Amino acid sequence: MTTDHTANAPAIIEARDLCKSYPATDGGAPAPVLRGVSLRVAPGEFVAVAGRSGSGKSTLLNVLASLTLPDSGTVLFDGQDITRVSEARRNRLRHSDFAVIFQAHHLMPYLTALENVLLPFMNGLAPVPAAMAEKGRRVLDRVGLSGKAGSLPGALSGGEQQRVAIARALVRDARVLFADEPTGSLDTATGEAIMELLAELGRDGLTTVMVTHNPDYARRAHRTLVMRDGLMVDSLD
Amino acid sequence: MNILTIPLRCARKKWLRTLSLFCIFTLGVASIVALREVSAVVGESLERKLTSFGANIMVAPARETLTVSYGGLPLGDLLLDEGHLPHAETARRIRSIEFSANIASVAPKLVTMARIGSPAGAAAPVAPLPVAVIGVDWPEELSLKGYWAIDGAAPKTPEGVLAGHTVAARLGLAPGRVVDVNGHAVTVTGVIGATGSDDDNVLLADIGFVQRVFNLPDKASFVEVAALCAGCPIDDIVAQLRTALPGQDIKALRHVVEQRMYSVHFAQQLALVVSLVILLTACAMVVMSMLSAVNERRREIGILRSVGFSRSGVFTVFASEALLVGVAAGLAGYLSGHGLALKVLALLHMADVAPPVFSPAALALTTGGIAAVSVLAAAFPAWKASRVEPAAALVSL
Repeated sequence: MTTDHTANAPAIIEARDLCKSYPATDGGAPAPVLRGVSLRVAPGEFVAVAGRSGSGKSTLLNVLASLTLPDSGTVLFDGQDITRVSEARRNRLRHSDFAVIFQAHHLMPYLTALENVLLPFMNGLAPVPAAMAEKGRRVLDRVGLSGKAGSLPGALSGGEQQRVAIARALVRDARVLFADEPTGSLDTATGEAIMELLAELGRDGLTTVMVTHNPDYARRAHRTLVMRDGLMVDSLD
Repeated sequence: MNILTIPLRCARKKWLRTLSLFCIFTLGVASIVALREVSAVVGESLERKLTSFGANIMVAPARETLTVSYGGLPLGDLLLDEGHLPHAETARRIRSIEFSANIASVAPKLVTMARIGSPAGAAAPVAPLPVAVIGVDWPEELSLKGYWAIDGAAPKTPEGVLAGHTVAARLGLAPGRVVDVNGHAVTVTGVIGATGSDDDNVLLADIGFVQRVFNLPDKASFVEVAALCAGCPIDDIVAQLRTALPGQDIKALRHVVEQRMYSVHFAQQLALVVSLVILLTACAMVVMSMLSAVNERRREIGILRSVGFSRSGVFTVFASEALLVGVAAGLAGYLSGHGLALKVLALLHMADVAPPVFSPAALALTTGGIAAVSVLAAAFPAWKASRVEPAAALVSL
């Protein structure tokens, strides 16, 4: 897929010289995972980040989604450096602007599908507004789970769980969707359906950054970035 | 649906873990409540039982003595007062002080002297001997002298007397014998075993009988009082008695008070220490359980944080869960502890001493306290978990 989303559009997300290391498990020197990664993502763009296991793509996604902080470098969201904002601002970003779906779905096991979708709005003593609950049902309909609102994750298939996670992203009207190997734990047919859903969201204008090691899925993005050993080594339109 | 939905659903889904936590805390609370209530009753019962080993306050007429000598010849001491208390009025006033509930016994004594001869028809009659005849109020006296070993029985009528061990030996008295006291025949209903005290050397009779026979109506030489000091200091009781009985000599037998209170406090402090050990053990178990639960659920914390829950939001989820368990355990623990205390006291035959009373205020206090302890126990692990970055929490499992 080749489109010119990045040519001159202002970036919604821009990373500059990101570096991140994790402490070595054997007590040795910290292992660098990101070694000066930079990228720009334009609004409405669907970017895939490809690379082998251990190349640093999931860490990059976590840093972009504000789930962890880099050791150095900056992440700009709408021009604001979100690595230097308060914890409260980062919480608001994760709540309202960013949505993340994971390979392992990460649903709360004792909440129903609808409750998992509405989880971001349960962060207080005030009840979730009826209008929001209705919206939660609508997005469940949209991802094809109209009859599963009351089901617990344990009663859903892997594909259905991933759809609940996507619905949780949609219900918030997030501006950027981060997807970390969203089809990694699914069979081919289910993975294909999830990819089709993500592509549809991309066509609707949702900015998406997806980490994948599957070249076929990467090709569906507007642009594919390739990482190796903590470095961005290629960019394919 | 709100933030409380999360702990409620979790408690329902993980019912076995919730039930275990509930049982641990309920058991702890029930043990503490039962122990506290039983120890309070045992302490009171112990003090009441200790009153049967004697009085701890003495009320006597104020006396002044004058040493008299004339012509270089000492003539001894002269008492400058009447030497008696008004029996009925003194007893009434003692019973009417503010701390009257702490007055366990009021035992008047009227001390007289008489020549007591061998009973009529004695096999080996002896010449009449001077003996102190003490008038006592039998129910009050017997409650103070629980340690008496009586050969025979305590008198049931005014004409019955108890003989001290030495007097009985000197006069050859035995239960059933009749002796003459100031011209009145009385029956010895029992002989007190040797006590090593003044009781060995006296004849004890009903105070009304002694007042009548010795023409000392409504008189008492002194009054022994047994006060329960667990609820208030002995000094306060003595001060109130002095106000109620102005001009009388009122003394606290401090060594007796202190010995008794040492025993009572020892029993109560022992119960307190055991309660604290149980409470600390229950707290430690809850902390361990919560720590383990929070560590098990780090991925859930990561999910909550990834959808925008603040650290305080995560803390609220875990604290609410602990609060839920704490409130339920506080209510169940207090009620079962209260029931257990009643059962234990019934088994110990102490339920009639001062049975524990169900108190809504104590229930609320216990429940509130245990809920606070539960939240505090969960606070550290929840706080620790909420400090972890969302990404680290999500990949930790």
